[in-house]
Amino acid sequence: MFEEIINTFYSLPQNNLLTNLPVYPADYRGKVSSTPFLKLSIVLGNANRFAYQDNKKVTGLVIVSIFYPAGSGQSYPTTLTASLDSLFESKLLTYGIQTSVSSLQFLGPDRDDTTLSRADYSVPFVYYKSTN
Amino acid sequence: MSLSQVIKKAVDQAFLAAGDLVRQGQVKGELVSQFDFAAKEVVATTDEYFTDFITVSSVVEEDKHIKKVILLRSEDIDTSRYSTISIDSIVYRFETIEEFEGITQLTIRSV
Repeated sequence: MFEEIINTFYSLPQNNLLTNLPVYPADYRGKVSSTPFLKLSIVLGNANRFAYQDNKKVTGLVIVSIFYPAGSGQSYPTTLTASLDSLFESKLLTYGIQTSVSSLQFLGPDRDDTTLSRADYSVPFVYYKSTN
Repeated sequence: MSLSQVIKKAVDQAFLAAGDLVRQGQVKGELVSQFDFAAKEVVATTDEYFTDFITVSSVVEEDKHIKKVILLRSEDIDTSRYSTISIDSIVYRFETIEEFEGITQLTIRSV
């Protein structure tokens, strides 16, 4: 079931691009071809099963980290959110994964590369898995 | 002759003088250029070749892994690209890399 969650979000980039920017998994350690770029991370949260039904519920957060040149202000990430919303916000995805409302957090200079600034676009999601 | 050329010549002479202390190992690296979300795996190319080195020290650690300190000519290795070296069919992973003019010192640990 956890594999279904990862596969669902990994199916969203087209030709390894999101909003026409290269996207990588959060723990990617290879060459980054250009800036700005994105990193995709799926954070799994609570899982529980209700006593009155057989479904298992998993909550989580999908995060798209936006890396862009440091010192260019906060405007750039906001230009991407409409496009990201069209993919991630309030969607019913495969395996019944339901996403909700997006948010954007400015995190300032990246700790690993201070020539870059980082902003995190995130959307909570819920997944129900029938255990029948 | 520039100072770097003088140092390079001295390093070459040192490797020559070291005679049979100079051994060969096979360095190997993987260049990851992309992540393919459809295949859910990295796109990578591997590269390997033989190069000379001199062993400075070799220690068998408590967990039976071997830790070595070796010297290579800096021109023989791009440490940003390569990450392992095979010596006598044992693969060692680079642990610490110290680069000096003409010489690169690697601390390596058997896998």
